[in-house]
Amino acid sequence: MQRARLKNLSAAIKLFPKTSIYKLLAQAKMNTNDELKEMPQLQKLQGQSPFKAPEGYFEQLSSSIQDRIASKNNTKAIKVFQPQWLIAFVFLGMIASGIYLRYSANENTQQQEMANVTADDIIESGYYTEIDEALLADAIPASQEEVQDSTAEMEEYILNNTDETTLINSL
Amino acid sequence: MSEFSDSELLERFRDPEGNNKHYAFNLLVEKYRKKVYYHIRRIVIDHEDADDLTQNTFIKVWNNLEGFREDSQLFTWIYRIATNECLGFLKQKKRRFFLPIGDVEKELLGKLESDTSINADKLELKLQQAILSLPEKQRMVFNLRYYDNMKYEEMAEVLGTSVGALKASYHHAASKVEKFISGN
Repeated sequence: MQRARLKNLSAAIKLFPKTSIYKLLAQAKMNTNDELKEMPQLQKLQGQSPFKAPEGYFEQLSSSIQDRIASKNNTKAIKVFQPQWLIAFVFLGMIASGIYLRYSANENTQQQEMANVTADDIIESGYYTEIDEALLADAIPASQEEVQDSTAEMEEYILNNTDETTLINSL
Repeated sequence: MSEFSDSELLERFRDPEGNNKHYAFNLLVEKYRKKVYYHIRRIVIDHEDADDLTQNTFIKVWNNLEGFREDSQLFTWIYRIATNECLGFLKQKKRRFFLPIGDVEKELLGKLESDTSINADKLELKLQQAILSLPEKQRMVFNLRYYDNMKYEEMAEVLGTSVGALKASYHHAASKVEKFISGN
């Protein structure tokens, strides 16, 4: 009996090498029960826990951990595609689509409006008077044949519609 | 349960000449697996979540044990990792679907009430409901003291809070829980 007690004592000392056996006993007395002196319900339930692990769980836990270490997959695979990312993408997609549709609608509207503008509209607006003639000239496609054709036409027009005196005086 | 002390386990793990690393680590896991699991389980309630977090905790222990500076005890260091895993998990839950804190608690409460593996009578269930109503850190303090009978000095290493603050926190938590269970 004495030997058994001594064996237990030495085992206890091994577990707590820095603590003397007397301190251990004192600490055992001063446990949470003292703090719960005026809390009967908590005292009653102390030491009980409703949580139970599945049978055999702890035995397989060690091997699961070792397998993960061995496979160097140290953390469980993070799901790359998570539902909240999908929501975020859809939301951004909607915003982007909205901006694109609005922008392209504006452009289409502008083009349609421009196509509907007539020559009378331009004349009424007075805008044409502000147009730089050089710009107009640049806008007209220049082709050598056209220039030659138009020169020939001009000459014919002048000869047919102008008398000799006016022609000589203008040279 | 492992018969080796923490310092002996560390020594075996760090032995450069022997091939004891995995063996020492296995002993460490055997020594702390139940404590770590139940500490986590009491916070996250669900077994699957607790299993994930427990494994992640020990993986982090494996990855960092070599560099463990021994400025705290080994088991408080392990508990600290487990606690941070729980806090990170709960934070992620709140962010995932923009859940406010109250909704996370409701979710955990729902799991508590629906989980068939939880073997609780009415009063035990009420106790767990009371604990869930506590703020996260206060819940940790309560669980570590009430269930693990952890000393305040060790708890201070785990939670990074002063002993005085922890004592006050526990007393406050215990009073709230007692009132809740008693129906006052």
